[in-house]
Formats: sequence, C-alpha cells, structure tokens
Amino acid sequence: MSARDHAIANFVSRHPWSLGPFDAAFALCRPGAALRQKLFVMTAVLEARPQYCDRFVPVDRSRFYAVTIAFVALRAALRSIGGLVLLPFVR
Amino acid sequence: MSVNEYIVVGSGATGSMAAQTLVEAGAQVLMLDGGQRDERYAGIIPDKPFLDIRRTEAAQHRYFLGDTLESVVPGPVGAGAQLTPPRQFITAEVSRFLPLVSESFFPLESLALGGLGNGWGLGCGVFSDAELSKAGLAPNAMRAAYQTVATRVGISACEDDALPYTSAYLEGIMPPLPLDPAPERVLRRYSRKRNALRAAGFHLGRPALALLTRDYDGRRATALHDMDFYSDAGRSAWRPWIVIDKLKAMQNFTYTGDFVVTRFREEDGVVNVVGLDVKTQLERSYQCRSLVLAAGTLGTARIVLRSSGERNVRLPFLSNPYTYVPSIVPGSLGKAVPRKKASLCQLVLLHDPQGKHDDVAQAGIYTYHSLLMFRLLREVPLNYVDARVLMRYLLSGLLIVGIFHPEQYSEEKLLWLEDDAQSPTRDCLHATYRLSAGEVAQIEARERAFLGAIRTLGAWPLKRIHPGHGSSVHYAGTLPFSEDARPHSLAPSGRLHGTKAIYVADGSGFRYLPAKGLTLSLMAQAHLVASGLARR
Repeated sequence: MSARDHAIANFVSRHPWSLGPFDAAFALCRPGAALRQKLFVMTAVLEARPQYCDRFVPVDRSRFYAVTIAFVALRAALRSIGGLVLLPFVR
Repeated sequence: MSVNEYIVVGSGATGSMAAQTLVEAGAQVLMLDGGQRDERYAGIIPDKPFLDIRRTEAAQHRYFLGDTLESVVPGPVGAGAQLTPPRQFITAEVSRFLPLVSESFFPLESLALGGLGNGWGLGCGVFSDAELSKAGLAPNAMRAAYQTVATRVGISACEDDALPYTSAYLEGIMPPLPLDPAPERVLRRYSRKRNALRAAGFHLGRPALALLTRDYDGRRATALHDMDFYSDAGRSAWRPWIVIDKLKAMQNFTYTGDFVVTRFREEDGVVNVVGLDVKTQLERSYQCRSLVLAAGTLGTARIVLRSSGERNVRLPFLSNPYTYVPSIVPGSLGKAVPRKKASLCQLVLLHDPQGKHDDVAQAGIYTYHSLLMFRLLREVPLNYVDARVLMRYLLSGLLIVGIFHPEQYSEEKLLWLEDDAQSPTRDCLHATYRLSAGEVAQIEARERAFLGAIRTLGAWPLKRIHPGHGSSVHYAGTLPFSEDARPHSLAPSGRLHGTKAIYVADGSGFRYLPAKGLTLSLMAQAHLVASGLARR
C-alpha cells in the first residue's frame, strides 16, 4: 500500500461514514486503489456466504421499484461528488 | 523399444476424436498428453442447482472463489484469468511449457486432459460449402464427418432461423434448452421484426449445443442446474475427457499423461517422438509408425517448427476477431432468475448480408446469471453499496452479446520460434497479430450493423469491449492445406508435406476461419484425418 492509501485507510477507520464517499470517488478516478481492492475481496467473500447470498440474487420487483433505483442512483452520485471533494484534504 | 502403430498427441476435442476413430477401427493407439487435471474441486461440487448451492452450501466459497481466492485476485496469468476456479486447471503448466511472447496476441492454451475442450462453451456450427471450400476442406466428406461427430457428442438445437447456420442437415438433434426470460423477450421481438431483420441479413435463433437434453449413450440429460461453468455433472455437456475415459477401457488404447511432446524425427519408416516429463522435465521418447498431431494450432506449430530445426520460418495464422457488447433489455429489469436453467449461450444472431452462407458473422447472446456478481460490481463506476442494489435490479435484463468475425490471412498475422534458454523446451513462440486498415474498417461496419440489430431486438447496447486478439480462443491456419508439396503445409489428407507419416488433425490446415463455433468442424476434420489413416 502506498502512503496515500495508508492515509485514506487511517481516515476511514477514524471516520467510518467516509467509506462510501471514498469508495465512490476511487471508482471514478482510481479503480485500482487499495481501498477498492479490499472492498472487492470483501464483497466477493460476502456474496459466497449463504447468509448474504439473497442480497445479491435478483428478485421480482414491482414497477414502482424504479423510484428506489432512482433514489439509489442519486445517492451514488452524491457519494461520488462528496468523495471527490473530500479526497484532496486527506493526506 | 516397442513401435506403436499410432501416436496421437493431445487429448482435446481433436485428439480425442481422432483417437476414437482409430481405436474403433481396431488400430493400436498411444495418446501422449499434458494430462493436467482438476484434483481439488471436482469432488466437492454438489449436484444441485446454482441458486440452492448459494443459499445452503457453506463450502461454496471454495469453488466459487477458489481456495486461494484465485477467482478474486487472479495472478499474472493473462488469458484464462476469467476461468472459474474448477476450470483453472485448463491452463496449468502452460506458462512453463508453452511460453509465448507477443504484444498483440494473447491466446488461451492448455496442457489439460481434454485440453481447451474442458472450457468449451459447447456452441456448434456446421460450415457452409462455401466456407468449407475457402478453408480448404472437402464439403462432401465434411458433411458426413459432421454427422458422425454429432452422433458421438449429442447435439441439442431448434428448428428456427439459426438452424441452417448451426446444424443444417444433421440428424438426431435433441430438443433445445429452455430460454431465460430476457432472451425469450428478445426472441419474441424478433418474431415481430423478422422481415425487416432478415432483409438486413440478420437471422436469430437458438444455438446448437453439445449438451444433452435427453439421456444418451450412458450420459444424463442436463438437470438444468446452471452449474455448467463449474462442473460436468451427469456428463450432460460433451467433454473430451468423457471419450478418453471410454477409450481407456479398450485394449488397443493407452494413455500417457504428464508428457509434453516437443519434437519428432522420421527415420527408416519409424517416427521417433520426443518430449518432456512434466514433473521431472526429463526427456523421454516413444516410437510409432504414424504420428497424429492434435496439440492445438499453436501447440502443433511449436512441434513442427522445432522438429524442422528452422528458426527463420514465419508461419501465418488466424484467430477470429472478437468483441463483446453488454446490453440491457429494459422490459426484463427487476425480475427473479429461474432456478432451473443452463449457463450456456441462449441465442445466436447471424449476419449474412448476401444470403450466401459465406463470410457470415455470428454473435452469441448470453445472460449473466450463472456467475457471482462481484466481478461486475468492480466494473461499475459507483461505490460498492449502491452498485450492488443497482446491479441486482439490472442483472435480469443484462445480456452479453459476443460478436465473432470471420477471418482470413493478411501480412501481419505471424508466428515464429526463437531460442530461449530459460524455457524447459529451450525455445519460445513469438506472435504478432495486427489487422490491416481494410479489415478494421470492415469489422467496424459489421459491428455497427450488429448494434443496430440489437436495438431493433429491443435491447440497449451499453458499450463495445475489445478484449484483444486471441480472446476468441479460435486459432487456425498455421500449416495451410495445399495441393502443392510446399514446406509447412498440409496435404488434403492432413499429412504434413515433406514427411511420410506425420499427420495433423487439428485446425492448423484451415486457410480461412468462419465466425461460427469452431469445435464441431475441428472434430469433424480430426475424424476425417483419422478415418483416412485407418483405411490406409
């Protein structure tokens, strides 16, 4: 891990709310970042556990679920913006 | 040292087919093979539906992610990194014994028992007479050979617009697999837009697959467990190892694994076949009256170049250009995935603008339900938490359209062998693969036409991804068929010109590479070479 990755990891462990924004920012500007790699492995491990599998398997949704999807897309965009704004301040 | 009647090199689709033909004709056959196999995962994968396994099996991480998380954090493997853990044995020992250096070509090769056939997507396609002639193959003989091979492997297909391109005149075809909801919606849309699409040269239908939908020849009809990327339960999918297992019970067949053939030499009516033991790297040799090379196009090229001792020879070769297009079917979003299904190709979209069954391009249409989602999440430019919610909604409507283009020779598609002291074989294959400007323009035009057809079928293409030359895993043409006795070419019988008893039974002779599923044609050609030898 680079010094920058260490700084990010330290910041995230002190401020867990920042995980989403940093993840979102790195997804856009540095997909190979150590934080993304760790989340990738954790996602894979969770998906391959019976107790979490249903969080990944598609299910039937009503047409109104599109509203939820729109909300999630908006939240994702805000997380990306928040992360990109925050990123330069963590050293 | 005893002299074998025949030695067959390689146990993949072509080697197994050639060996079966020879053995059934009563010939005595020794098969020499890399012989790598999966000894870790095959015994622990339950014979249950994919979704049931995911909901109940605590040990699923072993075969879905790998004991060393090899599916999550792939090493510097290159081609083959996309294989699921139970299939990764396909590329075992390849980097050591089959080194290849290239900046433009990244193939998948195998030293496994069953070769690349272990990862075959099971798509079958008969070449038209025009395509066979361009490839240097005899149409009449190939038609009969296609039928023989189809009877051996068992093929499921459907009488629809794709049939003339996939399994035209084959008999004994089994019913097709059930369709997933998104491809079914696409097929319904095709039936409404059929006339317009056909006028533009597009034909959509079900693929012909070497997968049983009825019990056949001691093998079980597919249980639709959607585990095709992980296991060969019930032997429903045809794999070369099934043939080898059967042949091993015959007295006139001997199998020797863990052996990489490096070269041959003909002397006084005997062929001396030399190779390396995979475990000890010590040299060993065998003798035979006739040698049948079926080591795959690249593997056979290595053996032939090494045996000739020439280092300045450049061999031509072919590999279908391949592009894939993730696409979304809006009407299928937010739907549950069927519990009983197959993981394989759902539909084939063929582009034959002239209607002459010549230079046909083919797209295979797949869903993405049979693999875990985590790899997709990495590709989404969003945080993992939100990406999971969105992908879970999108997944049921996601189609992967893989476009194969027909391929012919041009100047910058070359292979050659160079010395390499680090390699156990003391050499290394080099390759360059570059398309001409004309070929690039042709591919671009064809892909634009495909994108238009995908939209007409009610799907939204998201982007085009070019995974690089070699990713189609279709290789051919290093030793082109030739009536003239030119060096590094094959006689129509498969005999290597300049030799008396060296035959090539893989795709090395094909002078043209149609875009259809290649394996059925390779097997038919292997059967023809072997039956010619058996008649001799």
